[in-house]
Amino acid sequence: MIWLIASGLLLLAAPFVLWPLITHWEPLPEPDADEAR
Amino acid sequence: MIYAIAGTACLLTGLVLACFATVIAGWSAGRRDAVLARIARRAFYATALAVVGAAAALEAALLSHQFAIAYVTEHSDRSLPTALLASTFYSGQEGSLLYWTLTLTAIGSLALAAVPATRSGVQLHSYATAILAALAAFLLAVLVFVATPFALLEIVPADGLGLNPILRDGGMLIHPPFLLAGFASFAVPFAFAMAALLAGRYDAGWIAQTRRLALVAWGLQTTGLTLGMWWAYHVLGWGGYWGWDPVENVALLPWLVTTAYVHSIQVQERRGQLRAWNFGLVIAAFLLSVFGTFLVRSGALVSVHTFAVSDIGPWFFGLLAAVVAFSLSVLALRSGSLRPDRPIQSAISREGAFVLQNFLLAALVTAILWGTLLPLLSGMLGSARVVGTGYYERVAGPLLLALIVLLAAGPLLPWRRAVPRRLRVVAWPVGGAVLTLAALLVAGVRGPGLIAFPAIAAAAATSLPRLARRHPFRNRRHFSAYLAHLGITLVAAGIAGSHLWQQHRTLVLAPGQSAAVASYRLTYTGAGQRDGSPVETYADLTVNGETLEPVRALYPGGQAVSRVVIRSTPVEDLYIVYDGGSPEQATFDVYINPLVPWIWSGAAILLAALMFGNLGAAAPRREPAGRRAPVPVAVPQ
Repeated sequence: MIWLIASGLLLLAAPFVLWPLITHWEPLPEPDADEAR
Repeated sequence: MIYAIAGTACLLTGLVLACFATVIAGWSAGRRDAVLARIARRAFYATALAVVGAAAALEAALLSHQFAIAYVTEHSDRSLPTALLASTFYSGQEGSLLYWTLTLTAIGSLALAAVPATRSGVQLHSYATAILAALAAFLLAVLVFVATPFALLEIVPADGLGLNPILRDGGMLIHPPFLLAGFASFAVPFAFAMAALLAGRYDAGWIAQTRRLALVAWGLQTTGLTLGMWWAYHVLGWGGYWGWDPVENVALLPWLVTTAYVHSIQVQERRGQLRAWNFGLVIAAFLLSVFGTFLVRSGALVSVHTFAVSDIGPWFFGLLAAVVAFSLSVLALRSGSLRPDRPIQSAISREGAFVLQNFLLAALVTAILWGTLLPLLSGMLGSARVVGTGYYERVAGPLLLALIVLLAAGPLLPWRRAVPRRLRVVAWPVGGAVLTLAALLVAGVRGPGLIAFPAIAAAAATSLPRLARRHPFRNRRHFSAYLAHLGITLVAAGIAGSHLWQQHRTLVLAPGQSAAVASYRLTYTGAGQRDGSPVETYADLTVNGETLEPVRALYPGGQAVSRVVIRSTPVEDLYIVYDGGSPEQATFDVYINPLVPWIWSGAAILLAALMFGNLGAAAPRREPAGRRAPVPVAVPQ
């Protein structure tokens, strides 16, 4: 029962969590000068 | 039953999501992949939501008296008023651990959302997410497998066991939430500091972010500590507010370390020095908060907070060992790049004062840690030895005095080196100290007060003119720093006054009999009893014409709690404890506590200064969009 509900909750969370995969063409944040070095 | 199932399912979901966030964030840090970083961050937010769900299930179970759940039975009953019933959420081990997880994931989510990924870099952000998610996963694993708040009872009782009588007070609604949140929030600056080390980023943007996160933790802990002192003063009935109890000590240690950090970070900001030390302080504050939890929860030390003891101690010990090993390895790995830009030129300079302040705070932390650990360490070697309050007072007194002197001198020193003509500014604090000393001598004061109060006056004389010269809004950070110094000066005066000049008398009085304590005349007029749960015996006293009624409450389990009467004036508290007796003869402990109200007002000023200086303050400036270099976008094929 608990695992069933937990799986349901995980399924509910999946679209929210994985949304950036679907919209990967969004402009990405660029590394700033320090990191680029 | 449904609450237990829903709560456990939420915890399990949170655990899976936190593990997922850890792995994905670690992966994205390695690949510097912004899409993966976003997924990890969202998984962390979802973890926070799952924990909110579990917390809501526990709170609903408590409010609707679901005695099938062991935690509800053990910590609440039907007689509790709604507010206290709601607060039983964090009155036991499992609940406070859930609250801790809730705070960590909530503050962690806010920090991840507030610190822009563009500025701090994808890699740094990913490391921070990975560390926060790993900590959340650890706490959720303990909540699911070791100390679950949703364990069920085979036989459902008609009523619960109720809340510990000491906790049945308004203080319960405010002190634990702040202190536990403070403890949990030290993880956030730690995560960002470790992430910066791993990503090799030590720039001004990092300093601004970590400083703000550390100030959030510091503010929560300041509030929690002050409320704890206020509660102990009002409820425990021994005339004081700080007993050097192990739990108080371990709550103070991360606060002291973070106090050192918010000062020494300025040396890094202005002069590029003390980099490794600053990282060490952020790490130490978090380690001490985990260590404190281990000490308190393992039952290794006896304390007034022993109601919170459980078997999760070894787990926290494991976490502590893992965090120590991880932090030291990363620090060692990066030690080469943490060297200062230039050495400190002169000891008589602002940076010299900050180093000395850090040294004094580190000495204080070491001394308190030693006193707290001695029973444990000596117990391992044979007979357990305990240090009393005398040890702490002897060690902490001179160190605190030195810190107050530094509070007077430090802000006057210029950066780099002090030149003699700039040292004329010491006229203010020296003048303040001399005038105070003269006033004290005229008033007939003798003893350590003649050293403490002139030093405190000097600190105030340094802060006040600087405060008056600064525009509160144009110079917010400086203004709030001096306001905070003024607050801490008031706290110091309150501590010194109540400690050095407290008067205590035990009075045994028959009805109609009077006694004088300081300027107060107390007349005992009679006692009575109010039946109920708890049974309350009260004594009526007339003090300077006003009738007061201290109470002694006897709870069904046999535990007696004093309800003290406190009459405050701006300069002192009259504090009366009724110790019981018969209608023919009553015993009272009467304390005159000078300057205690200054502690509460000083702490309030300190917190107001913290909020004024930092709430809504401008975030580190971003580069204008047009000047950013275009970076190729990695699109998965």
